[in-house]
Amino acid sequence: MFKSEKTEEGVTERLFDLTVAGELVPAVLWTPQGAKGTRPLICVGHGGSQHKRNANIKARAQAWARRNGWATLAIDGPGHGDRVTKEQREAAAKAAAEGNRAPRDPTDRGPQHAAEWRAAVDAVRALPEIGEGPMGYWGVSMGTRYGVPFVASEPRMTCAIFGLFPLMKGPHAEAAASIKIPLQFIFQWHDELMKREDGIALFNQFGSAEKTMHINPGKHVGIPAFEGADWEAFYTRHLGVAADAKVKENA
Amino acid sequence: MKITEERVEDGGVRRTSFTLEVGGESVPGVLWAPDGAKGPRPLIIQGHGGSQHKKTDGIVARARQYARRHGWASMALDAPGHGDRITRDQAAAQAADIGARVRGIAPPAGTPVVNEAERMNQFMARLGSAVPELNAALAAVQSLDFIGKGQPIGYWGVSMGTMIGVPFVAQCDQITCAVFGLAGLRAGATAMEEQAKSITIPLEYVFQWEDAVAPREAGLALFNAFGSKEKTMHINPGGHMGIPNFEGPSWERLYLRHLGVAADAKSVVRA
Repeated sequence: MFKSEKTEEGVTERLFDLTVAGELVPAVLWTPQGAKGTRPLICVGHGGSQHKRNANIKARAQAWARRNGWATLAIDGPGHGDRVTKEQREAAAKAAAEGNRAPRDPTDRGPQHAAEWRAAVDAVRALPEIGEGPMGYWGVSMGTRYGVPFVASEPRMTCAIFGLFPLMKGPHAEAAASIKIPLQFIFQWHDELMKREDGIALFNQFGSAEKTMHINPGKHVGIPAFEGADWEAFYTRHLGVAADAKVKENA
Repeated sequence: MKITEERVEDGGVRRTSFTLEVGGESVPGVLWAPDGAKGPRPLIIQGHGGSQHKKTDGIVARARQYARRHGWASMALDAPGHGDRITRDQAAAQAADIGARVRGIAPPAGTPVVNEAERMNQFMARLGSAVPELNAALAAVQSLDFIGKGQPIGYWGVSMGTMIGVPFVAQCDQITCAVFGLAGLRAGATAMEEQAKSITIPLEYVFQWEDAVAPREAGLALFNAFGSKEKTMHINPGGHMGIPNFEGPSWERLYLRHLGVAADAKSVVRA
């Protein structure tokens, strides 16, 4: 299944590809080195112009594996990462840097990407070192654009973190309303890509009884580092830690 | 400052009860610290909610946990017209009135109609002595060797604890960071708006999305008014009394980030 494997400071990173409805989907999986037995899995959806092995995703995956024994799965989004050429990637990154990346409706590729996610989840949960444990989702901005349809279609999902995305009427809003699992929704109060009231409207739209919106000052790219500790506490509460984790649950 | 009682509670936390004469009033207060604490340490000032008192369950639980885990001291006073400053019958009547209001229950027929701004003004006028009382109590406890002066200080107070906390923190240059919430900035509340703008320390602001006494717009307006660069609003579904338990650890992380732990703390700060 894996085309490469390397281990850094106690965390093993493995790359693999899936083919879903004719599309080649590149994926990456991080697990504690020598992991054995069932453990929580976190699916991470990257942002626009980013890719599955973006530095922030890799850093979180490694920290989670080391501290809590969690596995992390990421796949390249449609038109992103290894699904496009280097030239296409660079053009997208340039457009994003110039602020040309308004949130888009995922209706076109939402169902296909949700199917890709479910196939990737099936593949890694078949591994003995992952198994059928609790599962979380993390994805903001484009990671919420595609994450909402994915999470809505995935009954095995335990909890999710979304953010940096507005309410968009239509299938995306319907998917959001159908989500009932515990959520954290992070929002930047001076986001140049969306209005405050549209972010609040998406928070209101989620069907979950447990949902918390965190608002911080600042632009789209600028979530404070301390929110990372809250995400980890949230996953610890709902997923628990792996049996072989170094930390003890104390929340 | 007159110490009226000292006792060691479960798990090695020492509770010191005291009274303080401020402006002709005897103000009851309480201080928690690790038993046997020596030397200066971070202090958290906790302000209770309307109809509650200095030893309300949440304050006691947090004070004990903070002392045990991080070596922090906590201080709480009875606000004007609350706790040991009124009779048990008065406290019960007040709890019934405020309890109905926060649950969104209409007052009984025949109750004089007072508009919300006027009601808030009357409420704040009754609390007018709260800020000088907190200033005096802070100075008094800082003279104790196990609190000391010049240490980081956190504030915690939601609802009435924010209505008192905002004017207090705005004029006290010793506060390092604060937790506020369950309050709002209403049209015409210019004094509170100016105080909020002048606060620039790191804040966490917790808000309940279906609060019968703090409308969403007023809650967002108060969050917006704070002058702090680091300020986070946490919004949860539910009513005034329904802050989820998981917000507690988030407050603790804010204090850990900004106050650090006491030199004799059992906990280890983890990034």
